[in-house]
Amino acid sequence: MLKLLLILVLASLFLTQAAENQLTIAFGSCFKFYRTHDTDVFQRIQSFNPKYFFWLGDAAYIDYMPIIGIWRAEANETRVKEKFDITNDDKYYAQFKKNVIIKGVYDDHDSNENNGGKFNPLKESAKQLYLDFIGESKDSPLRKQDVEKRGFGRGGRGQRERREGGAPRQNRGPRRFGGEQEWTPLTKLGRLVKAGKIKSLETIFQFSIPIKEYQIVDHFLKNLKEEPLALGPVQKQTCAGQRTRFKAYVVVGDGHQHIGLGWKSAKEVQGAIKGAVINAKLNLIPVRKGYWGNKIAQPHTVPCKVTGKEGSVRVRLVPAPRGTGIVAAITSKKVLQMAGIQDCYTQSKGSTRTRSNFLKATFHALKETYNFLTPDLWGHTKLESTPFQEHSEYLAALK
Amino acid sequence: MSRKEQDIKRLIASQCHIGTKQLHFDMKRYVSHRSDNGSYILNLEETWQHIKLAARVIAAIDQPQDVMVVSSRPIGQRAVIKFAHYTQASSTRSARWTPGTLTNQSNSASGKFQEPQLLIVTDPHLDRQAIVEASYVNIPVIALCNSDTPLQYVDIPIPVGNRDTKSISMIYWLLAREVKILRGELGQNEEWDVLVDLFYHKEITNDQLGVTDNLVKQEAEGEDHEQQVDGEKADKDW
Repeated sequence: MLKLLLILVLASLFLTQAAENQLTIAFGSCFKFYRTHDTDVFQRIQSFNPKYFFWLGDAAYIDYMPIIGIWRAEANETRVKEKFDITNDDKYYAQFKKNVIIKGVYDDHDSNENNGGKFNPLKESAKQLYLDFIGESKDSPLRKQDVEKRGFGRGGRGQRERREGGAPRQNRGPRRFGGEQEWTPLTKLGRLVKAGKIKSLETIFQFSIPIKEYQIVDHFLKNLKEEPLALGPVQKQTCAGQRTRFKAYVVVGDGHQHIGLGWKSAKEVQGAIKGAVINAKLNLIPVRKGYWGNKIAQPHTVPCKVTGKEGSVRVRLVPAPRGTGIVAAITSKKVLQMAGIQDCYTQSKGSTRTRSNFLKATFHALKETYNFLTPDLWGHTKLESTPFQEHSEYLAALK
Repeated sequence: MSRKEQDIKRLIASQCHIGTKQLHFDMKRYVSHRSDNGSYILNLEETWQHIKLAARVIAAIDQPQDVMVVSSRPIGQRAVIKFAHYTQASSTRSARWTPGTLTNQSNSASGKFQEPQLLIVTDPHLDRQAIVEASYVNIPVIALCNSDTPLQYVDIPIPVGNRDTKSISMIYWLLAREVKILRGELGQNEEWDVLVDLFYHKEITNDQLGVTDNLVKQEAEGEDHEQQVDGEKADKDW
């Protein structure tokens, strides 16, 4: 790590000759220094006589616990300050500070999380401590300046799969390029949802409004579980050989009455899964549940026999008595579980080994539950105006 | 003479009742009979009723600009623009319907994403793209249909022989007038001072623009001349 700093610094000063009218700027980052041994990095930097030194990030690795050897966002302010002090107290740095003007880029010290400070509980105070470290005065406008919420996904877009000293997968959370960015709705429905004009997802389903933005679903369903069910490489032949991509099928559900099936093909597995999750949210459907026999307690099975088909696969869902559980193949079973169906008999036909078709057929069958006109739906339903009609004034005013 | 009789006369005068020599099954109910030369004659009673119905639907939309009028046919474009002008609807500015206008909400598209509540179409054959897209986003469609027009995805057809600018314009004129009456801008039996002629499409020839044939010829030759020069240069470079 020190080597890294040195290399960066040297790179910045390479091929420059100390000249009277020449401006020398040094920059560095990733200063992982633990007082385990002395370092004379700053002395060496100083020998180039830079006018400015810029901290470009990770000025101190405040969330690395050297003894335990794990990465976790620091929850203790004193410890954060301690880590900055390690650098500050370094004898060469003290000298360095006197001779060189030091500035820095905001750094949320999530070292490797790269998520725009999402997991850093001390984000605000860490920022102030960092500014102290850099040497900003107490009343500097930078103190009040809001941070641009951006993280640069190191493994996101690039080809790198291995994360150096990477955080355990659980800590990372849903990966988003760009950290936590504000959602700007692009459709009328999106705008209404964001403004809170629409009370529930069921309104959207009632009027068969196509959902084009996955954030709409996220807004209503906070505890949506995602489960990748099928993942495989697909290839295309080019003049330069084969071009392989990964296709992922993901099922998204709240385990209660909503389910979505999405698929995406992308160059990387992670990207495929991520895209498939979004696609699944866009394809969300309500699932109607019913009773096998007496209407006691909550509905637990499909309301009637429904069948879905995709390709050659036919999947038939049959109501089952309470306690039966889901009698289905593993693939189908997973989908039905996520939909919240507790008991169900299934019959399938066709090439169910074609996972994608099997999944889609099951999904279509579940979709049919709300397409079926049962006698209890025979009553007359009052005609209501669509959300677009109802809130047309609000929408027009937005433009 | 009642309002209705006047309107029917207008429709006949604009030859709205004359369809094509082909008949589509969907349009069977709107056809009255077949003329001597083989053209199908549309039932103007149906036409008139549907204009009334369409006007009601248009007027029921709270925000006038949520109504979108489309014509890819040049002979219908002026009528569509005028209709939009008088009813504050939105219309397509050019002949080409950019695919994705109703379905592509991404920022990378040229910002032409629209979400109307109603679509009015001049010719389902030519404006097919618009109608199909409307079907993706739950937008009802009113269309001017000829005897050979399929009514797929069309919710309110208005039977009219839409081959000529006169007939198209008359329908739009009547529609606009009806909408204005329903909105209260015009009295029930008031005559609308705007003439149908305003809706007609006019071919603008070079004569009218003041460009004579000679000028056009010169310009064309000039271009050739330039090309020749470039050719010579190209030879030299080689």
